[in-house]
Amino acid sequence: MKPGDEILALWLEGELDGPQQAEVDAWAAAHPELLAEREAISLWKVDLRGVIAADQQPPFPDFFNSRIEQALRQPAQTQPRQNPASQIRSWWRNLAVPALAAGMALCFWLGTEFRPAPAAVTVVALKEPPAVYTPLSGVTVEVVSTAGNDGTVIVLEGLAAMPDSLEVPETSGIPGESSFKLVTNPDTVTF
Amino acid sequence: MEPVGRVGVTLIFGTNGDPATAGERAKPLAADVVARLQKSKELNFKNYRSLGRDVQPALRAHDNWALPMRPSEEVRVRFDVQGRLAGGGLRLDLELWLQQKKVLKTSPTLEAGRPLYIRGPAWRGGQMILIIELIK
Amino acid sequence: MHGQLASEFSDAGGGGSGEVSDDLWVKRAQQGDLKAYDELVTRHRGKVFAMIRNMVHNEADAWDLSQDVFIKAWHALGGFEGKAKFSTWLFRISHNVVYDWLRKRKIQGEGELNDEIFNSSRIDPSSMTTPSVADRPDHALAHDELRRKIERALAHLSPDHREVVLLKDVQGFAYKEIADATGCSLGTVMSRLYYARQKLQTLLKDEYEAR
Repeated sequence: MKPGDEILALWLEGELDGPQQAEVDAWAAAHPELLAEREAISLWKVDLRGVIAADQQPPFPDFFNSRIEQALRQPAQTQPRQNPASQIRSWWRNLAVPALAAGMALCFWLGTEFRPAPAAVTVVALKEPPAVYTPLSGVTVEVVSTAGNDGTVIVLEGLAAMPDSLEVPETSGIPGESSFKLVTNPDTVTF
Repeated sequence: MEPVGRVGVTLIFGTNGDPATAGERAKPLAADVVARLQKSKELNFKNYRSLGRDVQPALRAHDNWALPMRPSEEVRVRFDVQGRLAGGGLRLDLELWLQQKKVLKTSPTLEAGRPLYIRGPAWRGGQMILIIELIK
Repeated sequence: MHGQLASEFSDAGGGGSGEVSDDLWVKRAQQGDLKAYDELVTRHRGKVFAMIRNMVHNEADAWDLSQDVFIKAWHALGGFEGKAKFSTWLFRISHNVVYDWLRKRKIQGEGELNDEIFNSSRIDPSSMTTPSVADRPDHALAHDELRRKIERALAHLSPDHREVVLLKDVQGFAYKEIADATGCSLGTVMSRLYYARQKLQTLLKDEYEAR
């Protein structure tokens, strides 16, 4: 007896359990076109998996993880949905205390001051270069510190040049105050 | 929404050739800024010009966009505030966009007087440099 | 929405050493253990990233969206009861994240089929619907060229059809797992896969004949 459409679809994909599989196998023995179809599906998957990745590490995987961790360590900007299971809120309480304690311990070690802000998490001033990532292939990114340690330089190599036709707009370059010394000479721009 | 600071993005042109290639609207830089740039091997050029500047408030939980060549969108910096430092600095999530494409993502810490420099693409025989700073 | 996820998974997760390990990390993560969760992220980020990248065709956005998946999953962990595989549950969240993103960008697939006019009774599993690249006379097609052809063909599918092909034929999900991950009925999944493969067959054949 011909199996139902759903059973047949599962059989074609090899998703039936032992006894049911055997039953449909027996019926399909008289239907070579179905055996051919099952074989074709198998070959198609081999071809597809050969060119389309099922598993691909994201670029800069450590940075990927650390960004997630960073986001999880901060209080949500909006309150999470109320869940009938109160477990989510209790985890957050469990998480916040160790994170703050760790932060304070680290601050003590670095010799910096730590004052938790009431409305936001205060980040420890870690003296480490920023993590960087470029999605462009053929482009490399490097982080260097400036001489005299007055800043950080990120160098992008391999970027396509900006077109020569790009012009400085008339209205760009509005001078304003800055952490650098300002000289209010309209002919120069300072910081 | 109250900003937690202000971020300035300045676009500079650095070249060892004729700075006039940047065009008439590009302005010279003050000597002290030139001196600071020349301290760094990666940013050291004989001549500089300023191409534009934008200062934007840093709003929390918000995508902030700075366009140093406004109204042109060919060079854009997106940033959002991840946290505040005890000394008033900001930890940012920052992206550089060139010609409508994201070219860089980074998580810098900005403190007053310690900017982030990005040596970017070539242009007209020189180099574009971005200076991203925290403005009090 | 995320609080409802666990109740929608009625099948027990599969066995095997990988699943047992996930259970341990999940339990610890549910207690607030960020290191345990970091382990789960490391274990599953490859599949999540690959799936999302294949859906949105953009590595930078896939990178961001993949992180969104794990952030949302963390906040929904309390509702995960372990009746389904953790990976299936993650893919359900991935589905939601990708579709939210697509809605925001109003990306429309080309010539997508209206699934509502087809139902499972019209599936004829015995009909030859499988796309074949074996028909090409030139068996020495470069790997890269083949990949481009298939990627172009996949891009022609609507998100619904592309997703089901990726989950079934690339990720190796069972029909029931795909139904769980996409929130659709088994019949809808079968119907979508049938037509997606049929369309791919047409597209790959046409692309080839155009050479």
